[in-house]
Amino acid sequence: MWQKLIAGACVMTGALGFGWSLCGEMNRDIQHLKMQKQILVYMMGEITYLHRPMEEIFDMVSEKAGQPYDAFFQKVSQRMKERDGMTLLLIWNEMVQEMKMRTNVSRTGMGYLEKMGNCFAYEGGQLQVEALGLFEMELDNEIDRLKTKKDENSRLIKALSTLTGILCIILFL
Amino acid sequence: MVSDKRILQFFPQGLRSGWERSGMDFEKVQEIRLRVNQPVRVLSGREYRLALIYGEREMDEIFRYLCHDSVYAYEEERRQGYLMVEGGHRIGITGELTAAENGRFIAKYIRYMNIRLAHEHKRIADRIIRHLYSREKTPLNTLIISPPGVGKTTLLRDIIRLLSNGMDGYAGCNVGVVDERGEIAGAYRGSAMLDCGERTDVITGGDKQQGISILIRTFAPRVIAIDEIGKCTDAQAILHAGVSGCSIVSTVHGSSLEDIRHKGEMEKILKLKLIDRFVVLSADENMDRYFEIYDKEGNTICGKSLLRVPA
Repeated sequence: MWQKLIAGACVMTGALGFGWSLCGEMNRDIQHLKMQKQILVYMMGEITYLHRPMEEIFDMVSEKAGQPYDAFFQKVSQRMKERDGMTLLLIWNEMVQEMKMRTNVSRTGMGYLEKMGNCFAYEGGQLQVEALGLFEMELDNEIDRLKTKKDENSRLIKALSTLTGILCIILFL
Repeated sequence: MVSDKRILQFFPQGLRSGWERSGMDFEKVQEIRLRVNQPVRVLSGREYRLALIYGEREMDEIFRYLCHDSVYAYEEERRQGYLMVEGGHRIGITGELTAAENGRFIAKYIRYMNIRLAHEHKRIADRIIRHLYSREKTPLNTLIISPPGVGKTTLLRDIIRLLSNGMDGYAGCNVGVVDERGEIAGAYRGSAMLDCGERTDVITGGDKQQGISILIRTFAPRVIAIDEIGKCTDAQAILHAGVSGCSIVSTVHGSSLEDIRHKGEMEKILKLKLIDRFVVLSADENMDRYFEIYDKEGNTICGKSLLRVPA
């Protein structure tokens, strides 16, 4: 009897663990998107109040942002300063590819970082801020969607693992 | 022949190959003229016509690249019709203008650019500077008169540097520079890229009146340097500096002392009798530069002499 109970408990724990790891991944996604959102807010502030060019903003972001974004923005800014003829979009995409190989940022996080590169090079200050604002909204929606999905998944996984454990006990009785 | 890499800094990757092959020497190039659908012309001692033609798309690309892909950050410069880039180079921009706020205009389609390369020529004022001090060895109010392209801003910069650093028998003093268009100091993002001396404070942007007020209020300059006077408000600004005990060193477009006397606004400035020294610059067909110096009354202090670095 006790062997069946242990087996049931193991199944339940395993399923719960799997569920938690899945939720943990979603949590990391949410964390990355939140960091990107913070960076966007900072950028919008610098553009609105001081009309700073992107290269300077990236430099400042690199000092404020956490890993791995600090190194990313530092490199983009450095490349822009080199004036080697590359446009911001080309430099951005190149750096995103490099980051994909070197860091363990989730696919969702990298996808949004890559998309952020398309939000620059607008002509008017207001237009530039609005373009970044629009992207911020997109990030907000994704964060909300991930949060809801995470809650749902976590509830479902908990229920399923409990049921599977009970089913195991019944089957082995 | 391969071009100096510094020329390439003005062009995005896709447009660099033509420049790499052009064999232009950066040190000698004065101006690069880009006109939509017309061959590029380079002024480097004489005018060169290059086999490079840029269309509307390329002109847009160049402009965006010069703005570091942050066109919004250069709105004010775009309204004024020029950009300053790294190294203190000035790029004139124009094309189709459109009305912006406050009744001002902004270039909507940029189709013509004039890249004016800033070159430093130190010590060209060595033979002039001693005439710009009084017997008590205090700097005098000086006006440099010159036609465009002869080098009045370059000379002004060297005078500023010498006044600021001082030299044998003449102590250096605090110099304030009101650099409306960033040409004197080659200012880029507020920092002087060209040597204006150790005791020099530079205000970039704004207008002369505002700049002079800030300098007088907070930086206590002995000398204030300004470029290209001639507007009606300039007389007031110069008077303000004069009554505050500062000397003024400035430049004006013109070919001679007589020439500027007949220019409406300059007449008012000259009537103030504030200017102690007039330095008149000229150039011959070989682009050798000459200077003459006159006193307050128009008497010759130094006859026509070659402007060059002393041997």
